[in-house]
Amino acid sequence: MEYSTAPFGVSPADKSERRFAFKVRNLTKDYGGHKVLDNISFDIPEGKIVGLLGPNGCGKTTLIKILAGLIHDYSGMVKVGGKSIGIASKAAVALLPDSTYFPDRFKTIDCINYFADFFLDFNKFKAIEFASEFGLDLNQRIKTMSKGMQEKLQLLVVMSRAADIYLLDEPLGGVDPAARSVIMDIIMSSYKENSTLLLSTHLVNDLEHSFDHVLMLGKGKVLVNTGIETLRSTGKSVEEIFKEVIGDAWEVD
Amino acid sequence: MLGKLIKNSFKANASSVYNTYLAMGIIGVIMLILMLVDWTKWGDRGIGLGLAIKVAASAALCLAAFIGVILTFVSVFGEFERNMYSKEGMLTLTLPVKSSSLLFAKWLSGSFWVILSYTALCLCAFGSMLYLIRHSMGIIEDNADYSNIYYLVTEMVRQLSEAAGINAPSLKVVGNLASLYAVSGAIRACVFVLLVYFAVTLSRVRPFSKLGKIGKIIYFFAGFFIIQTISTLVSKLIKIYIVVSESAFTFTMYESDVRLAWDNGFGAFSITDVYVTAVLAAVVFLVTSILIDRKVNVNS
Repeated sequence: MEYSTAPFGVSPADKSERRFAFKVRNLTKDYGGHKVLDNISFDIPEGKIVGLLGPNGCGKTTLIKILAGLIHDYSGMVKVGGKSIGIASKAAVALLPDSTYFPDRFKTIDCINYFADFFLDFNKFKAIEFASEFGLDLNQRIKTMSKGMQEKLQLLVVMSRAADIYLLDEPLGGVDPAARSVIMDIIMSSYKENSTLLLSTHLVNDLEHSFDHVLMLGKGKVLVNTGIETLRSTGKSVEEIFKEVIGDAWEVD
Repeated sequence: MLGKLIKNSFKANASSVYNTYLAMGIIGVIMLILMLVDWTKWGDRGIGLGLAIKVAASAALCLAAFIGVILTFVSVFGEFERNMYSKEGMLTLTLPVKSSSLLFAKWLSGSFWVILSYTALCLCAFGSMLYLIRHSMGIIEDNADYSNIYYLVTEMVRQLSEAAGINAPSLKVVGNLASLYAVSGAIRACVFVLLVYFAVTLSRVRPFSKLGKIGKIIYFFAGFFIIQTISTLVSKLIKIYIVVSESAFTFTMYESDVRLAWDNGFGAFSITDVYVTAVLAAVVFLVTSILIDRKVNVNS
């Protein structure tokens, strides 16, 4: 494939010196016999903003859940921040899933206190400040919030962590164009420097300027895993490459 | 971290059983008021009506407590599944804590609420029983002072002992025996809660998830059956009792000591099955935490 570099995304010379945010070998995950991830291997260097791209059903959310330690029945080896999936990797990862997860009984302040209780890298004052900026009432209950407000709250608590790795699953999914730039500004301005940000999205055009690295999945395989410069050197935009590479991968088995 | 997990589990369970306990409390207060009203003011018809209302009120109180137990079970187990394996699981299972700590916190909190509801039911049933004895047997006058409860319990123990053909133990011995039964009941309630957590967890693991929702019930009863069978078999092979006197608990492995104890106004309590059940519960706990750690998927 024209755009695909070595399967591990970095040159052999780099591999010995650099640390990897994600190291995946022969990862296979199936749902009822249908392989969503089919024996994939890749490395992603630390400190990059990684675009995780691919058509619906290509395994982006499954991959993120595996990296976050939410799915266990897969085969292969997965290391996150140099650690096997476990307490240490979970402490290093801040996950923003594609759906809301706070209990309905929680108030905004309960969500903030919950994160403060369990994540040592959580900045409570930053979260309260964010809540104020977003116009979220600290005493409002989740069950009285709209879906958009819940997503904002979830984003602000996740981005108030100084995590080594952020896994953001469709952070702009279902968000109107005006709000997208606000959300991306928050993500880009608040994530910890030198941390790795894996961001899955369909909105390639809106986000391609933010990526340092691109991982494209399709038909259960890694189609592209390379730095943004390599892609841009072809003279095409990421979206054009996405359409070209993904082209036949839209048809999911 | 464990302390924070326990705190959050208690808060989660409290919020789900809050309405149940509020309703039970209101019903309890209404029933107590009805029972304390002096119906004799309204003459003979008032006495008859009052008695009927008091009996109905005590029965309603027991029924409310029974429903409270069921609702507590449903709330506690629903909360576990919701918090661990539904969308909330994406938060709970990404916390940097050991799965055993997570399970222990949920288990402790769930068991507390279940035991509390069970205790409320036992107190209501015991209170109602005393109340009915007071009226049906005409032992004492209505509206008697609290010291009569002592007499009532003594009378109950005497009658039960007579029926069993043994010497009536003193109330101190009965109290000691009751504390052992309470501990045994609490252990069994904890095992019950753990088995449900195990069944819910196993039903989330492939290939056991294929049975769907019915799988939880099957796995629960399978676990319950296995534990009961093993503890019964071991109890038959190894017999360990605690002989209970007024001032001491003594271990013995001889049935002759047990017979002698009952004949002399002491009590005895078999602990083998409780002990075996507790050991098996530890195994179930270990297996469940391994499943959470290595096998369960969260699919929101």
